[in-house]
Amino acid sequence: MSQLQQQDITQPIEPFIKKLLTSLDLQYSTPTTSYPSVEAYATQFGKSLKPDGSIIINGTPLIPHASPQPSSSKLEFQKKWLQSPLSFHQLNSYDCHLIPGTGTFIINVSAKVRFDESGRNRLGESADLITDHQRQSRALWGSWFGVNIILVVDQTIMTNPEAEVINSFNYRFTFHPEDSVIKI
Amino acid sequence: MSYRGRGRGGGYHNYNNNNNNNGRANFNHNQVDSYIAQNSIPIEIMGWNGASSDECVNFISRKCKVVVMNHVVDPATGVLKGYVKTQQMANDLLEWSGVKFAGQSLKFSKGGDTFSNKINPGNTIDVITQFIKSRYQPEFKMLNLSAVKHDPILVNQGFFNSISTTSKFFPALMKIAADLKLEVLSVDLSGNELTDLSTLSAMAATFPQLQNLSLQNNNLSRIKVFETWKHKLNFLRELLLRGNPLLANLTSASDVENIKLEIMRAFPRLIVVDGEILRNEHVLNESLSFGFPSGGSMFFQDDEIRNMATNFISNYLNLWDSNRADLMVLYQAESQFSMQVDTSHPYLLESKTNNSAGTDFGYYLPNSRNLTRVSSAKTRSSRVAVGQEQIFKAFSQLPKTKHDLLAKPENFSVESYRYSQVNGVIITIHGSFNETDKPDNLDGLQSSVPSGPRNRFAYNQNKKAIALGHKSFDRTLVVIPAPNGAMIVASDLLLIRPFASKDAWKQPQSYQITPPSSAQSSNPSPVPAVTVHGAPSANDLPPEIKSSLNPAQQELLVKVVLETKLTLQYGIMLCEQSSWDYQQCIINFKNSVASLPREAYTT
Repeated sequence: MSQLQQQDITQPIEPFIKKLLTSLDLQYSTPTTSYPSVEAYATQFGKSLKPDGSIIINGTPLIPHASPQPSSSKLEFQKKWLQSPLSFHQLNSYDCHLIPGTGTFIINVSAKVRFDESGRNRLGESADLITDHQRQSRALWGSWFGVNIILVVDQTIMTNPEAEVINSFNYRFTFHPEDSVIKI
Repeated sequence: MSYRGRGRGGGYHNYNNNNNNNGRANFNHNQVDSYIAQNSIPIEIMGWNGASSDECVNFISRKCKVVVMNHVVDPATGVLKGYVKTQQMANDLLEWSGVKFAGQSLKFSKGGDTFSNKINPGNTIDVITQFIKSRYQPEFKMLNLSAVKHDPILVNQGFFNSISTTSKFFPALMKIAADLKLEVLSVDLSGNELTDLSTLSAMAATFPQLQNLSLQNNNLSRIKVFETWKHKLNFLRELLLRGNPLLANLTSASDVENIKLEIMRAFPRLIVVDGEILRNEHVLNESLSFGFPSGGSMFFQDDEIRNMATNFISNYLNLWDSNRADLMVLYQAESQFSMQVDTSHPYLLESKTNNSAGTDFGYYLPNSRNLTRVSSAKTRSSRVAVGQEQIFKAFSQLPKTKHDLLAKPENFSVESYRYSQVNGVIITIHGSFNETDKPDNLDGLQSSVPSGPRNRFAYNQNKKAIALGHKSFDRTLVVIPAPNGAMIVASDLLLIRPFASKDAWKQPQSYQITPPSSAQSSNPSPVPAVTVHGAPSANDLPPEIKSSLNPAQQELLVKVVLETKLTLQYGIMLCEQSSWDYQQCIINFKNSVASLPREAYTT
């Protein structure tokens, strides 16, 4: 592996990780964007995951269902992510190795994430039985959680970062702030 | 100050301010006391905090024609303290008690009383400890702090002789309760003449898991009083406010609603206020939960991987701690190792431990391959160690360590699953280690950065030793089984971050929120209030009993019967003997439980 190749191969990884994290933090409706349907919204989460990839969240694998309709681990992930509170990730650090002869990178990502603690779900629906019509609803960010993410991605992200390239996605909370309202 | 110091009367102001600063700086009242004891009388002012302390003192000077000198705010109690010149002035001031200032009534008292000179300090702690124990019901995780001023022992000890000692009672109690490490889910603060909650601000830290709180029959009139607990009582589920001017004085429905909205903003998990359900608890719990089931600290794709990965990790970390050279058989010519530091990973700041050692990354930063920070292609590639020789060098540039995997496996978390493209397995370990000694090889510290005045690593080495301490880490190894049964590490990615004593995969038992269900009948709110779903209610009582009791008595009876498992007949006897007082019922029940016949119980 020459020095020149090294220089080229790690370049696209940072924008790729950032794009992945941003996809997890998308809002259902903002003043500028909105999705035609909940499905159109949810399928944006982790768009670059392969449908049959290994997805492990906090030690639990996402198992595809055969019935009533065949699903994929990616779809199961997106359904569950839709049920999680609105998030905001920040990339702190990452490192990666290209494994020779496999056409895949392994990436070790360190990030922090905080969640909307306002009590609204990701679709903006509130549990409040009395509501304040004057105040605009906005996220009430809690304290930062620590996260470690291990990814195996195809080398083809160098040429086509939009494609489904993630073979495995292992997301683990490493730090839990004491004052968080969110139950993990 | 110098401006004010000029001219007539200036010296007086100067004198004031100097002492004022002195008092603020050390809070050494003895100094101030002795300085001015000759002609000054200490006074205390409560209910001033609608505006600043200066404004209050100016107001008193204008309105009451009494000059308060050397005023300071006691940060523990919120009491404004100061001095007046003569006994007569102090008496004049006391007559002004109740005067309106910034929306509140000021209360004046002669100061100078503290716990330490009024009461023997050692005794104070004992008395409060005894008091807490007598008021704590472990089976309900409930602390009954109602009407403390009517507690004969506390009154005899002189706890409520002055505003000063009164205002110190709750802060002292919270401190002692925190030291006792009581598990408290319910607190009853009813009937304490509270106008403000600032003396109770420590409660949020003492009982962070608090779910039920009664503030009934106090004097709370402003919504602002809840600021002190805003977003600090994150598990508060039920709040009782009846008998306070706050809601009682409001006539318009929209005002009432605004107060409720403010309270909801302060307490994110609040469901019930005075029996009214303000949030859909089921929906709220869903909204505030991460959507994925908690999988525990270990994940192995199958049993084969479990055996292989657990063996591998325990041997690997053992050798990493004892002799890293022995690990080199696992690495081959194409094996890669690199280390990155995430200095800004969140962690818990702990005052007790020397945390600077947990965040001193001096040994790691020169070789860190955090690719968000390392942009030069040359450095990026030079910080990956490839092949045995480079990898061993990189290992020996890291501090010596001790991983407590065998003694404390709960401090570690592992995921292991197949990596089909390499016919191997990914093993990821999260946890912490203790640095036991400096690295064997210190070359990296000198050579990695050019010398010069801005060289912080060289500076560290010359001027200050790099501290050894605890660190947390996330390490991912790609392991390929070789045909002869050996293992090859193809890739080894080590991430170092500040020591997090509270790992995310370890959940203390008390963190679990009790779901509202019929089971909660054994975990009552401080005072009979909302009937929990599924539990029997007063409506279920036989008509002949209902007709003889008023609604409050019916409710109490149901509660007591649920609590004690007594039959209705014995339950009524207990309530009558206890004058229909819930606390008394429970106490009497406990006292007589041994002598009750079997037929006294429903089951």
